[in-house]
Amino acid sequence: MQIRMTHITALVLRAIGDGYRYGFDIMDATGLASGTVYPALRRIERAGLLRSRWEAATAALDSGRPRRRLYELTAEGRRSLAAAESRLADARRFLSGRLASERGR
Amino acid sequence: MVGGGQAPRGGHRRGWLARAIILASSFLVPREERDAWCEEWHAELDTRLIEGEAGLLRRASGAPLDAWLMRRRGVRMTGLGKDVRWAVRALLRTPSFTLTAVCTLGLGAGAITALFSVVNGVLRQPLPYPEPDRLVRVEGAGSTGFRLQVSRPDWRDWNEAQTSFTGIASYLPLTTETALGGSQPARFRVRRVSANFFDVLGVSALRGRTFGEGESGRSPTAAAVLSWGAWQRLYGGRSDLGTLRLDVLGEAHTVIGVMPRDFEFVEPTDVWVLHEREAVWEVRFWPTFGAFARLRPGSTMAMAAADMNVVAGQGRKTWGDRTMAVSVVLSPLRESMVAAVRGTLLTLFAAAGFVMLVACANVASALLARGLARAGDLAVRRAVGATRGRLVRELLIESAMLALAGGTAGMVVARAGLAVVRVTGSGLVPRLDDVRLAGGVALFALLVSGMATILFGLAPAFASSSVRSISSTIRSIGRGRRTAWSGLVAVEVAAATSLLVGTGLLVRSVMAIRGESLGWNTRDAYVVEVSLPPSLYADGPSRIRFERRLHSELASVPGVTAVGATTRLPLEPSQDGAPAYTPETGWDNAVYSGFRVVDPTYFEAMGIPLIEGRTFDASDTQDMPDVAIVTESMARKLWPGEDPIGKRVRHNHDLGNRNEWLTVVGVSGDVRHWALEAGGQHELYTPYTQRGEQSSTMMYIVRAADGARGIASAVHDRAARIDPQVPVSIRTMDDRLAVTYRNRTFALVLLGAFAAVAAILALIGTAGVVSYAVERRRREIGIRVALGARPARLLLGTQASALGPAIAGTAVGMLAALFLARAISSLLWGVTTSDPITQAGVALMLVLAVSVASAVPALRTLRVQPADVMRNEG
Repeated sequence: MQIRMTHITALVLRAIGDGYRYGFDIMDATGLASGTVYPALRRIERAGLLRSRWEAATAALDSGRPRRRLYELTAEGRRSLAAAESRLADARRFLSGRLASERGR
Repeated sequence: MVGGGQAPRGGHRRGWLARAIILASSFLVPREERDAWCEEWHAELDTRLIEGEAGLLRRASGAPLDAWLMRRRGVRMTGLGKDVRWAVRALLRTPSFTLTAVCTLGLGAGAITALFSVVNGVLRQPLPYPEPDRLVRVEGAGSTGFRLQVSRPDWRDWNEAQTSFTGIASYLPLTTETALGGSQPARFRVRRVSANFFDVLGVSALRGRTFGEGESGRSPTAAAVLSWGAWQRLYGGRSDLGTLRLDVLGEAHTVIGVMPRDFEFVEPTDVWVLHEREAVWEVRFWPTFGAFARLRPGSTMAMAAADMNVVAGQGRKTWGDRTMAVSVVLSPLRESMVAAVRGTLLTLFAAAGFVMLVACANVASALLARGLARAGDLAVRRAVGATRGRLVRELLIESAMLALAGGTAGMVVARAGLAVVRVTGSGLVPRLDDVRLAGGVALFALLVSGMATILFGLAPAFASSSVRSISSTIRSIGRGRRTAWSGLVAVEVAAATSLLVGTGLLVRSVMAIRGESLGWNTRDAYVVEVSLPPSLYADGPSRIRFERRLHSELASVPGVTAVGATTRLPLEPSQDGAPAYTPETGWDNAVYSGFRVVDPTYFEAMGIPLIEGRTFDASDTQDMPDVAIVTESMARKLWPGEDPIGKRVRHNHDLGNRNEWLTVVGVSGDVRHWALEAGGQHELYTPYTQRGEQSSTMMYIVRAADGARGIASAVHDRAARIDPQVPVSIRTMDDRLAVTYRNRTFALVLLGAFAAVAAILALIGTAGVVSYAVERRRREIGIRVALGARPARLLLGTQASALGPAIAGTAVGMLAALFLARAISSLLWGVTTSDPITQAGVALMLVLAVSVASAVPALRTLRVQPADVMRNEG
């Protein structure tokens, strides 16, 4: 399934790539609202860029909290994130170059 | 499912609202994914709770959206969508049932929605003026307590002396006048008002201004305020108001303002002018003005009433019997505006409720029957493992779909019903144009119909709750709902009975009134109305010249047999009345009498008999003694046992003009001038040749020979020949009189429609019940036929299942009809509220109709073949 690499998608992928693995943590990392993050997670998972699983119950019990669903990037997710970031870097370079040349004129 | 057991108790309390949101949202999630979805959300929430985070509500606020998107995403049909599709399919498989149920619910819901919208818009909505609750109707009360309007001198005194109001405004009934000023002469609806009229209402002009304080009768130029419609029609919406002139009521008026498009007071009006410019109304003993006031801030109705009674008492002390108002009565303006139609509207609303009741009962019994037909089906499904919840859910959705479709049909019916109310009630029910379909009640109607369908639609699911043999399930359902069915038939017939009796009483009232002699002949008569612009016809002689020419032109139209003229047609609204007295009776024993100016041939053209003396003739000129003709009952009242010819009489309406004693030259037959219901009314006629300057509006009664055609166009031609500046209107007498029947026609049309719908639905319902009774008893009938039972007995036996409840319903309906009749008693005439003929007629008709309606399906009894029944038994 194809997915459009939107701003939100990129933010969520980056957050997971940076190790934020739970829904609410991703909200905190990206600053997006729950009504944005969760639908985005479902969408991206369906597109195959994410994979979700329940953490081990024992781990959860040890820290005295219920087990949570955690999200990880798939290989394709990592590729997509890298592609998006390199495109973004290109764009940034292009824009700043353009601005610099304009400023110099 | 949620592993939040370790969370501190305080945390649970804090997060309860967030939890509730998640729980509520979870029902949107497809069932297969619901548990996982819940666990994920709750786990995140609990973790944060344990960590002591605040603001969880904000976190949970995204749950509904997430759940909703989960639901929509599913490519395959999720639970609800599938059930809806199933329900629609099931309903479409039985199109006649579905169509009947939807139409029935639609009629009921539509009737009640339309009527509630009318009641809401007319009776409950505040008046469309600022602070409408502070507007108060001001009326006088006579010595015996009867309500009076206000005379101009009294109004002026009251307005100056009172301290409770920002002002008391006064106005006269609407009149139609010819106005010049636009591109061509036009007939205008003119309202004469006091200068503070608009200020008291609290409305200002859209363009220009309304009347100012200083704009009394004495200012040199007359001012007029136009309605938006008249401004557009007459002046094409020109903005240079100051230069616009309007020639009406004998004066050139400067247009000072245009009112907003939606402004209306009581009736649609074209132009407002000041009554203070006309001296004719300056008679204290002549209460013809309507009055209303606005409470000052801080003043209450009770305070104002006390204040006004002091003021009125003062006036009474000063003027004694020369004023008719002994005290003052205040009431909310809104209530007084709708007082005349309040009872009728509420009754019709109740009638619509009855229709709704019948509709619900009907659909309920149809659903019971449907349930019976499907009971076997359901029992099979139950037996092969469908849960009861599953079946309930399906039936619930099916019922809900039915109610929804019925409600939608109801909106269409309501829209059409509202149009009917607008047409039949126009001019009778105020503020009809403001009525909008009430969304709230549409929802209510939907809920009621939904409840009825769901309640009765679910019955089969509960009946099949335990696993039994299929046939025993069917039989047990059949038994249980026999009582329900009988009850439903009784309710339907009772509601239909009371509505039919109400309609019957109205029909008989209208027939009684129509059969009553009005005192004149309305057949084959036309009324030609002319308003002479006073600027073109300023004096009596010029008007009399015009009237003579028009008279002879009209008389020469082929097919016309007689022509007569009067200032005012009997029975039309705004009849003028005032006290009349003789030298012998004096003021103290004056009689209240109408006043008319007529021409010599009026009596002949109207077909009013002359009892004694002579009619007016050419000798009654301006320089001859003033003469009058009185009605028979008035002559008897003023001069009992004496010959009235040659006696002298004075009429208050005449005061503003000459204030002469009039000599009675003739006595005419009585005419119903004021109301259809009241006979023997006093009326005084004066000749046009002596009082022609009284009125610029004349009505010509044109009597045509049988079958005469083309009168209307000939009349227009002839009038245009005399003066193209003077437009005329022509209508048949019956057409004009229709106005006076309007309150009854309005109630009759709507109540009749409701009664018809209720009766038809009740008959359909009865037929349905009998039809299923036959179905239910097939086996028994088959056995009895096999044993040699007589067909007639079997027929009666099945019919009895409907006839019994129907007769009981009729009896209950008769009792309910007594209350209904009391509610519409003001519209009844010539019949009592418990009129036995109407009651017996309706009862007989209904029982007959029920017999026929139940006979049709009962005939199927005769076709039951014993062999078929035995073969199907199993």
